[in-house]
Amino acid sequence: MRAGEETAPLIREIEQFLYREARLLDEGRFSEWLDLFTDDARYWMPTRETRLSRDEELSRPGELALFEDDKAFLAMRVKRLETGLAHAEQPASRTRHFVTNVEIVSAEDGQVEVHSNVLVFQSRLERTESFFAGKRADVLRKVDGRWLIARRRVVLDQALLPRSISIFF
Amino acid sequence: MRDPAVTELVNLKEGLVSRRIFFSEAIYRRELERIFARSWLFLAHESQIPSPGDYVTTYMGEDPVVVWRDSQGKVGAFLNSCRHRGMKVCRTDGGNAAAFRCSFHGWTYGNDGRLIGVPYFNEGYRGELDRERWGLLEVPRLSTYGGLIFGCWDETAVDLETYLGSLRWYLDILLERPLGGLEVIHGQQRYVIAANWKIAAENFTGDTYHLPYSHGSLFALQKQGMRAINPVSYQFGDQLYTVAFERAHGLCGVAIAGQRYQADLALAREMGPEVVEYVEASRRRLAERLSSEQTNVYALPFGNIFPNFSFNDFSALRPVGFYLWHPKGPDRLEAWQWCAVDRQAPQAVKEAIRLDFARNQALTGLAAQDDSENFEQVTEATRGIIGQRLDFIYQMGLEHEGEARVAGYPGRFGPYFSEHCQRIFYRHWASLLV
Repeated sequence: MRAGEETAPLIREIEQFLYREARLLDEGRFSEWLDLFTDDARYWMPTRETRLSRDEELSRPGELALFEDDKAFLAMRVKRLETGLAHAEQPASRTRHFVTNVEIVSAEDGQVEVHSNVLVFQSRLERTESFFAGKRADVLRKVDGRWLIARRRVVLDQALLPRSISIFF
Repeated sequence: MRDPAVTELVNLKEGLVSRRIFFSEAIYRRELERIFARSWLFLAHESQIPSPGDYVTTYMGEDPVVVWRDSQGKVGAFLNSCRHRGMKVCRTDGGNAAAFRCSFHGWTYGNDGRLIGVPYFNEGYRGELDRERWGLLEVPRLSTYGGLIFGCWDETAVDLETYLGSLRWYLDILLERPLGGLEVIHGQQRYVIAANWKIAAENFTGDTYHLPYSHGSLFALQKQGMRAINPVSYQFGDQLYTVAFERAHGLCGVAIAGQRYQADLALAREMGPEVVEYVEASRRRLAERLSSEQTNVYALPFGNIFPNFSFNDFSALRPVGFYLWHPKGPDRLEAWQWCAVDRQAPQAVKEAIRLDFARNQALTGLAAQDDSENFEQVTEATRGIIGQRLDFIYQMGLEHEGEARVAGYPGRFGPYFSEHCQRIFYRHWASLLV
C-alpha cells in the first residue's frame, strides 16, 4: 500500500474517536466515557519536575504517579462524582478539551498507537480557572468493531500544577 | 487600615481567632520573619539525596534553598542565590552536581557552597575580591532526625530535638517501624492552593472534625461496598485521640489500644502470608526498639510539625506521606508532597502503598481534591470587609481541656473530635509574632 491510501481514512476515524471522547468529558457524560475503555485499560500520568536532562523529568512506571488507574479505579472516580459529596466537583467544573496534533505512530491489526496534544480549560464556580497542557500517548484497540482505549499516558507540561486535579484528561 | 496587635486577633480564652490573620499582608510578612526565618523547617529526606553531589531545591518561607550533599558526603543547605547579583544559581528541582555556575556573570560555587570560580578575577577584580567571604549563604543550623533533614536560620534557636520535644516519642514509631528504613519514592507532586498556609497546616495539626463530611464521598463509596481506601483509618470515635504538643505540633487519630496493628493484621490476611509476616515483623521491631506503649500506638496516623510540615502514617501497609505547605503570599500556598515506603517491605506492599498514595493522598487523589476546594472557598468567602471583621471558631472542647487523661503517653490528649490542637497552634503562633 502506498502512504496516504489507507492512513488517511484511519486517521480521520481516530480523530473522530478522540473528538467524541473529549465531548463526552466536556458534557459530563462520565459513564459513557468509561465505556470507551477496555476492561484491561491503564490510565497513567507521571509526575514531572525540572531536571537538566529531559529524560529524568518524569517519574517512571513503578515510581510515584499522578494517576495510576485501572478501569476499576476510574470507575470508582466516576462513582465518587455521583455521590453528591465530591465537593471538588459539586457543582461540576466546566471543562473544554482541545485535542490537536493527532498522529498515528504505529498501526497493526486492530490496534493503533496515537499521540495527541491536549489543552484543557477548567472553569469552576465563579472565578476559578485553570489550564492544563500536555501530551497523550494512547493505545486504541478495536473490539467488536469499536475503538476502545487500552492505554492512556498523559504527560502534563507543568511541573507545578495550577490546582489539585478533579477532572479527567 | 491599622495593623492590630496580634493579641487582639487571637482570643483563645473564648476560642476565637480573627479571620484577618489569614489575609493581612502585614501579618504575613511578619510570619515570614518571625516564624519561617526562625523555626526548624523540613528540607528533605536523606533518601532523596543519597550520593555525593546530589541535591534538591526547596524553600524556607519564600527563600529558595538548595539542599546539597558535598563530595565528602556532608549535607549542607544554602540560599539559592548568587552572592554577586542574586541570580538563582540552581534552576532545577533536583539532580547531581559538583558545582553550580551562575548564569548571569559566571560565579561558580562548589557543592560545599564555597565560591570556587570568579570570571575575570584578575582582569576585572584585579585579584582583590575576597572569595572566601562570598560563598553561598549557608543555612546556619542543619540537623537530621531519623533521616528527616531540617534547617533553621536562627543561630540562637533551640536544637532540633528540643524543638520536636515529646512529639519525638511518636515520630520514633514512624521512623523505627520500617524494617529497612524509609525511602522516598521518586516523584514529587506540587500544586497551588489559593489559600493561606495555616489553613492546611492546622488541618493536619488537629482537624479530625473535617474527615466525616469533607471526605464524605469516601464513606459513601464504602457504604456501597467499594473500598476506595483502607477503611480502618476512618473509624471515628472515642477510642482515638488528638494530641497536642509544646511548640504547637499536633497529632490526629492516635490509637493506644493496639487497634491499628489489629487492623493491619486483618488487611494483611487478605493480602497473603508474606504480608502477615511483614506486619508481624514490623510490630516485633517496634517492641524490640521502643516501649510497649509505643508498640501499642503502632502508627500515628497524621499530624503537623509546626509550622508547615505535615505527615501521615496510617499503618505499615499504607503510605507514609510528607507534605510541605510553602507560603506564597497571604492567600496562596504551594503544596509539595512525597510518598515514602519501607525499603524492605515486600514488593506487593510497596505497590499497594504507591497506588494508595496516588489514588487518595495525591493531588489527583480522592481525599486531597475536596480539601483544596474547601481551603480555596474559605478564602473566597472571608476576604470581604464584613467577613474580615468576624472570627473563626475554635471552641470545640474548650471547657474540657485536660479531661482526657492517658498515663504513659506524652503530649496533651484530647478526644478524637476536639479543637484543642488548633488552639495550641494559634497560641504558639501568636506568641512568636508579638
